[in-house]
Amino acid sequence: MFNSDLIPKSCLDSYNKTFGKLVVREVPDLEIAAIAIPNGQEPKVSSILNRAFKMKEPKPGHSEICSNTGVRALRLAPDQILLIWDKNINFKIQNIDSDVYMTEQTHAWVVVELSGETVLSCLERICPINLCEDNFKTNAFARTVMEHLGSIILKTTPNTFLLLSGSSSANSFLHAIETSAKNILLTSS
Amino acid sequence: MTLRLKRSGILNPNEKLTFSFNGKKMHGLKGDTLASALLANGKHMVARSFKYHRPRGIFTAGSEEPSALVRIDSGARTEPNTKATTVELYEGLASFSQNHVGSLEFDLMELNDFLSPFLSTGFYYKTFMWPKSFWEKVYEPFIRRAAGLGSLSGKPDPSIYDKGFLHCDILIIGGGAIGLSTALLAGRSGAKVILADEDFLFGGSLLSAQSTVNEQDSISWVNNVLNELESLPNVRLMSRTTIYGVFDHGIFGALEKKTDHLPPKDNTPRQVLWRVYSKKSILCSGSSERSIAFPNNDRPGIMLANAARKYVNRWGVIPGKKITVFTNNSDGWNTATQLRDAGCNVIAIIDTNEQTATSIDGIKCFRGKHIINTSGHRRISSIQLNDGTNIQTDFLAVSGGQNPNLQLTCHHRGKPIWNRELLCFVPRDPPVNMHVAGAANGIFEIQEAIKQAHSITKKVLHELDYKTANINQPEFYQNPYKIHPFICVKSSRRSWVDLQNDVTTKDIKQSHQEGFHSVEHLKRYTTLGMATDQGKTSNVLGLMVMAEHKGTEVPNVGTTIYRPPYSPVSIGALAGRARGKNFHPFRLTPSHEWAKEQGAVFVEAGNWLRAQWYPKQDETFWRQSVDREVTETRKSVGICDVTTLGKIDIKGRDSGEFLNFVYANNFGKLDIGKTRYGLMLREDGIVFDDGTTARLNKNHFIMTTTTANAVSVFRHLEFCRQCLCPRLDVHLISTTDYWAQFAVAGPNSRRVLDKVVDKAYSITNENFPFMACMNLTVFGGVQARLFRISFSGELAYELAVPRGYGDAVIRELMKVGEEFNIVPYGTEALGVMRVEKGHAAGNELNGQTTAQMLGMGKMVSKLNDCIGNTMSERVAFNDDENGLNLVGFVPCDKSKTLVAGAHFIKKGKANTTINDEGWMTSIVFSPSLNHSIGLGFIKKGNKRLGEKVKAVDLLGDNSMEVKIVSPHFIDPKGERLRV
Repeated sequence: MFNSDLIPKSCLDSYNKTFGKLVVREVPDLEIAAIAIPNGQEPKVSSILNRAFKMKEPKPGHSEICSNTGVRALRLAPDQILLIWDKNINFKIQNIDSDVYMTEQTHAWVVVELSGETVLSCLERICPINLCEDNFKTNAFARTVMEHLGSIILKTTPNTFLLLSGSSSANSFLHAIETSAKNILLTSS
Repeated sequence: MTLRLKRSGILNPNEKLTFSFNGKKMHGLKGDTLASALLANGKHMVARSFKYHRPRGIFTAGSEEPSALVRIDSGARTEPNTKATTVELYEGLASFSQNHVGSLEFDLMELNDFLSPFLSTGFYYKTFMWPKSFWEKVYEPFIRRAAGLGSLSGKPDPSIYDKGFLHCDILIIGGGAIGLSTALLAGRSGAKVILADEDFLFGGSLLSAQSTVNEQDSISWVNNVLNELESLPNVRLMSRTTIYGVFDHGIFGALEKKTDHLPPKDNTPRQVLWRVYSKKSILCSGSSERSIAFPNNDRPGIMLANAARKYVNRWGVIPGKKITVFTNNSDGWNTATQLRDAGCNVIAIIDTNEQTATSIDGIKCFRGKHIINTSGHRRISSIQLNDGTNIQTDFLAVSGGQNPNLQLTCHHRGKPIWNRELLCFVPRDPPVNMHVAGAANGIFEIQEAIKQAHSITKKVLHELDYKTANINQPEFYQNPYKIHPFICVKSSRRSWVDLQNDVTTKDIKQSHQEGFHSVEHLKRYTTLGMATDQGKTSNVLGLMVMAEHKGTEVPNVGTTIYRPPYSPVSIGALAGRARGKNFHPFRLTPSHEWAKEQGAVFVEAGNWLRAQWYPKQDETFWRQSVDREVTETRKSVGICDVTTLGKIDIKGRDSGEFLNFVYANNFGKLDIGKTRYGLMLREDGIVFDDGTTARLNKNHFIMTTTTANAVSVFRHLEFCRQCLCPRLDVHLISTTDYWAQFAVAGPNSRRVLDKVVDKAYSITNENFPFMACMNLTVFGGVQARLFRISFSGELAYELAVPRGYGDAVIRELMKVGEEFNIVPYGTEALGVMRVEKGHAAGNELNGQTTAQMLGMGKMVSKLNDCIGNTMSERVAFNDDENGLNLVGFVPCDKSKTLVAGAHFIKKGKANTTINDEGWMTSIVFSPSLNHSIGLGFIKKGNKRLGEKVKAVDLLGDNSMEVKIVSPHFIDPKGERLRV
């Protein structure tokens, strides 16, 4: 019997750096799962989510958050939901596995958090989405492309955004963010 | 000597800056442009012309400048062909003249001016015809060298550039009086506004006007408006920003010069290229003045009148001691008045219109007269009028009328329309959601322009559901604009139309005589308006001259259409940050760090970086490493990171049916826990991709695609799912990035895996046979998937673990494999082993290959409706007589190396296309056989095993005789796979 405890590596070694009034950090403690809703089960989504998370059903393009657990549900498409939660909370994904098609996605994504006063200035260098407050409110998310990389942008507070992108290109993704952060720092100083 | 007015325009005389021109130290003021600073230092001659190398001065005060092109900075930062009129002065700025042999003052190439009769338009099409061979080697290089302007350093640009995305309700282009007033109205109303101006100060012509607005001086009004705009959070002010193009769907290209006005600094972005998304736009870009074509109108000291006004009023520069003004419109008089009022010595004004009633005290007026010649070499010294009057003057301000800056309205093919009264083109059919206000719309009287701009803005605000705020319309005063139709002076002397390309009225006449009547032909034949100024001062004048020659009106000559960019955008800015290794993102395999530690040589496979081979210290040649990796793997065990293969989880009640549809072969009946090779066809029956698909449970399949086609297969499947099979319960998700996957191959692969697979699972041959798959745990609880599949032809497995464990797993596998002499192998060894085994890969699946060619024709389902099966029934695909088959090839002389891409020709036949029987797709050196082997397609290959043919490589002149053999070079019965 093999008895070594293998330790998973985060994509960016828990990167955390401050650029003036902007903090960029990897968020390695998130669990992510994709839910596909079986054909014909769409009307049951509301009750499934309510039962599992005490959460309202998010409309496509919108997200909801469970007030007890902090589990977020991003409705990526009519039949697709992405669940994101802190791995330290007591939540078992198997709770709803029998009702939907569930796919573990934690290792598929790198999650980077950008926060601070200059977050919008940084994001406008890489993100084509209109992030102004009345267009992109807190808890809004969007699927988009940043520097050729498919990504999801989620606003968690007025000055905080979570960016999700493919784990294999995590270094390039971070490089794009760092470049933006440095460039705005250099031109504003 | 500084030639400044006491007032210094709007500059602070105490804010001094030092700069240099051609190495000579000079002083300017903060807020100067290089052009204004040069003029303030008495420097009028700053350049040489393009073709004739005539002395040239500063002609304008903005981005329309055709003459004052200089080189900024030196070394790798050299920026040639920069308009001195748009360069903001900074401490230490180094500038240089260009396009001369010898000094600026004594240019040997000035000889061209004397040879001008031989250098008329299109001369290079007519001369230098003999001898023929001289054209490329002598004439053309010489002409190009002589004709060029500035030159690049040839070194990589050390500056950095960035790009970004902006969004707004209303984009206001131009920050003059109209733009500011419009922005204020829109901003106060709550709309999200971007106000962009190419100048570094907002205010436009108000910065150089001695006028009042709302009973305050114009500068104060500008500052008050700016203060309010800056306080509005919904307004973004972008000075130094040129809107250079209008693209589809309300997208504008904008170039913001971030630090060009500062001494160069490493790592600070110079410029940012913005993509602006705007719901509406209002073009308030004003107008540009044009010249009058009269003999020798290109001398230093001759300048457009509006520009002269700017140099005097904005920068406080005294342009000359004896100033004359030549005009055909009312604005020229305005210039003369303002120059005089500023304290300049205006000695004469020449108006082509004898009906003009205006007069200015103290200035001699010549009505109904025009200039027939000028004198002076490095600067104008006198002018001669058609009545014989000779005026000694050192500065001539010329006003030939206004051209609306309507270029952006043409970017969606909107053709401007000629206005007979104003003698200029005005916009027609601007891009959707673009409105044009003020002088850009041909409304040259500012009060009327403001009224119209406000009306437009209110309409736009209403369309955007904003309630219009209250605003008092500012009160301006300006003389009405009137123009006299005087275009050019008829003369046998050269009168310049396009100063940048040295195009004269004679050139236009010649173009007309030679049949180049159309405006597009005129432009290309004479190069009129084709340079960095994009003909801002010359295009319309050129058309007017052509119309005169044709004896018709301008609209009958044609209308020129403007394309992006409005003004030049450097390649560096277009490239932005996408340079060098930042050109595209890289995808790294989970074992990348470990592979780097092993000294792996990496290769780009799409966006992936894959280990190509792992050289050992004593290996000096790549094949040594590859041969070793192959040999050791076949002898014992090897490990290869195959994470890059596309992985798609397919879930749903109808997954089997869906797979039957997208694959050519059947998957619906695949047993749980089994894997099958799948062949995917396009609609036309050609092979699209191949791979294996495993069934983990009733409703869950895992598809593996080739690395190259991972994205396109996923896209294709989504299309099939959503559009072709919408009723099926099928859901797809890419798990390529989720799983770290390792191929463990070789006779000892099972023994290695036995050490890491948790006890609850058995991988014996009986329990886990060839093509089996399962979910399991490894290393004491790590979730994993195991597939018994083989690309190498050996007993082999593919082990998948969540990506985060990938690094740890490769290290542990290498550790536990030590006792079996496990080796890592890269993509080269992978390729060698697959060719030895006869597996088709990207080289074989090149978009021309059918299932039949691969020997898989019988796999294509005849029963199920699947993509490509109908078209694969085509006669040509099933031609046993002439069809191509995938077979193996070996050189008859084993010491020779096969060549990929070589074509097969029957022995004794000529090496011609008609005799072409197929081609070599892949070649490798087989360490197992100790000679070169290849795969390829050849007609009736299956029936010709043992035949010798020629493998012809005409490109490399490396033809040889080869023998057709089975494509399975090792273990043709597949016994190794099943042990």
